[in-house]
Amino acid sequence: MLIRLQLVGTGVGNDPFRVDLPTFSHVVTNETTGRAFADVPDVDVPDGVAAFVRANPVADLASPLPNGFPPSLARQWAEHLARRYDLGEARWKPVVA
Amino acid sequence: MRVGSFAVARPAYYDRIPTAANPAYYGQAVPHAQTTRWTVTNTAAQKMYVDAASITIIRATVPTTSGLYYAAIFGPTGQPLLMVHQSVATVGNPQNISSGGSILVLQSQSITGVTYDDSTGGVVTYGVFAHGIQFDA
Repeated sequence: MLIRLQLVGTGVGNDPFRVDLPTFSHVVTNETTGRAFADVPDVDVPDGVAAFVRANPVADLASPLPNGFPPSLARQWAEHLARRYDLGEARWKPVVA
Repeated sequence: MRVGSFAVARPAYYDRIPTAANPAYYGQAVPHAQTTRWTVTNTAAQKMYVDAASITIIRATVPTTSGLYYAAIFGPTGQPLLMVHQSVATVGNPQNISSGGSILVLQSQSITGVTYDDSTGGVVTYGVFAHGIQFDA
């Protein structure tokens, strides 16, 4: 599903601008606002996060989110990725932005 | 008593719970720092054969000053598997590369597609694509 995410990284050396997810594609960025659209596999998105994204539609990389992304959903997403990729730790901490 | 061997060949990788990975980016961008356009990561129980990859870059509009611009696909240790770069200002000037054959991406490892443009002004069109089969390790 298409999700607007917080951009991480500096764009310098081995730290490219990116979204903090293990698998994504079709990234379009706005380095000024620090946001990016990314296509994320549905299997990597827990139901609660998917529901939040559907309830808070955004059309561009500049407008603010209608509602802030709850820390509880951020934790849920990080734990979901840690389980799915079987890492035993939350290596990725994506944030809807 | 009957004694036999339990040694049985495993199915070929494409018969071990295969799923296709089709990471892609195609779009136009103004000058930007190195940006990851896609990533594919294996779970701890998967490996992946990357069996095809291609990159194209075409200058779309004239820059004020043309700098280096490129697109690349990086392997698990950060080495470029494919890379196309140029610094010309001519609109429509294309560079393309494609690769067949395979690389094996091991458990929990990733491949990424990136773009970069150090020009001032102007727009470049990028296409960065790959295809892989993820399978039960």
